[in-house]
Amino acid sequence: MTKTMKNTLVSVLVMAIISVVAVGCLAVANAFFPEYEARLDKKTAALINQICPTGVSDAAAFSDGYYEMATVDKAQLKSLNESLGADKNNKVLAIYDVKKGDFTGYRVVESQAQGYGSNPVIITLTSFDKDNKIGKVIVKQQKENPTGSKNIFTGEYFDKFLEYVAGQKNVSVGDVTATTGATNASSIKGLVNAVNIAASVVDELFGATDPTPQPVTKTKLLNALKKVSSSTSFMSYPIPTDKKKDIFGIYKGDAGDVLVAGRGNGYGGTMGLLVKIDADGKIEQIVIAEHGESIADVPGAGNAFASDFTDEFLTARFAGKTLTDIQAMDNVLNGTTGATLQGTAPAIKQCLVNALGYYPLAQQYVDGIDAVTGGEDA
Amino acid sequence: MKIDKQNLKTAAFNGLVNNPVFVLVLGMCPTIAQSTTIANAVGLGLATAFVLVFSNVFISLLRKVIPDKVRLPAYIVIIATFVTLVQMFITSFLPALNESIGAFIPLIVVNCIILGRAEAFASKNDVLSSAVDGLSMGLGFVLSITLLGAVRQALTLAGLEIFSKTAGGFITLGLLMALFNAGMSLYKEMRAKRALYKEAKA
Repeated sequence: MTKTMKNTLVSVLVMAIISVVAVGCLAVANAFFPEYEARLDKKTAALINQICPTGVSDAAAFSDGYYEMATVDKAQLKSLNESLGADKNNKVLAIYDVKKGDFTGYRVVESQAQGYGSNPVIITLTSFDKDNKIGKVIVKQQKENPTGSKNIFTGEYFDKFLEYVAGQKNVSVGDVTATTGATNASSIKGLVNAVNIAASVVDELFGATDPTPQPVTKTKLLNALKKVSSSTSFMSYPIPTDKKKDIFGIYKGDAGDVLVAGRGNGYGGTMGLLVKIDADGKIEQIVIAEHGESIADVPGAGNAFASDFTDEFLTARFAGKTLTDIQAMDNVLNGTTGATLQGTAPAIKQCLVNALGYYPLAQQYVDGIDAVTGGEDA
Repeated sequence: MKIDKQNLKTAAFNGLVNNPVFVLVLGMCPTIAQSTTIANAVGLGLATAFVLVFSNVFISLLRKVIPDKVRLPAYIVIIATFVTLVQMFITSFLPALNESIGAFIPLIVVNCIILGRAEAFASKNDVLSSAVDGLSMGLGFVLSITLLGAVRQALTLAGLEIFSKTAGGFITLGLLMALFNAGMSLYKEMRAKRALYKEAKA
């Protein structure tokens, strides 16, 4: 062995050892430092003062007890986050109560979701009125660097977004894009996810105990429902708590037919697929109720997938399949585009399995609620 | 273990004699950018000092193990480890400070003061003197950046808006640097005179 080679080897070895030891030390240290915890600091109070104005200065709103951090058990919040399919980057951080002023009784939820950019975490504060409807949204942190000029976080686009979300209980990427005209899709998705997870947690924690079906009003969902059913109006039924992770929606049309949309976590957030199931438990038709898969996000998908991810494609591919058939499929999209479609394919499978699995119970559940509320007619 | 007293003494006064800000003029980016208020200055100064002491100690410990050719990457890894620790600490426990100086914490990795001391001192001296040198240099940095911060904050509060801007930072730094060096040379002159006087007397 030449001397140069030996020296090189020693250098590499020493560097490797130093690096490994350093990483090890940091990993150990990391366990001792608490994770970022939201707290009611001056900055947060000032932001809340913008969405739930107290009429006093930011400093007074902070110091005079206008806002208070809600006493939600941390473990409870954590398990709630988990049951709603939240992960490291998409979760509710804290809930604040408005104690004084015109907005007394309002709640403000701090939540975060993954956006796009160098620091992809978007943190928002969303206010909710006493009926758990969204009031306003304010962005606490975002480091998105949109390439286009139609940035959802700026001026008129954000104003339109606020106009749209007010009074809603759940927002969708499609509607936000359509109403605001903003084009930075990944950021919109992050913003929508942050608001939605806040809304879900509020609904879960403080939601009405009386489960009354609500009429479906959102155009996009209504159109999707009309595609699978001959009914013209639909009622949306509250999803049982233990099913929130699996089921996107339970609907009953005015013709008396019950429809179930399965829920899955796609590459771009929540995916909801409406599945029409025949008497033998076979898939008859699939309609996309919600998805955040932007094709550019799906690794290796290419443009072929853009035209493939449609109701027709999904129906053609899965029609006639039963729960066992779907469960036996390793990768439900394999062979269509040659791409693995990590994230999207498992989400489709999740949606289908969940919808097929819950469907036999759905009719019973809907009847049970109708018996209580007397809402036989949609 | 033999302790080199002379070396230790030199190390202890390095922070003053070779003040990193006023004499060596190192690490100007964070110095100018974060000396707008006393709180920022103290925060950044202490973070830098902490990294300086520990990186000096560890580099001195490993000085015989690290091959000459890869010493700079090795130093950077060691420094980066401590910087990450500081950053984790600040984000976890001092969110307000993190808001104001957060962006400058990772930059400590490439702060010339730290790499400079690693190269010029810690890699050639024993652990104890390196620790003392790190502490002295660190305190020297804390004191000078705090002084800068105090002067700038006072002048800003007095209504001179420019001192909260970068330009004001340069002006303050220049003036303080001149004062410091004038003071130091005056002191040196006096010492030389006294030595001469003593010699003549003897």
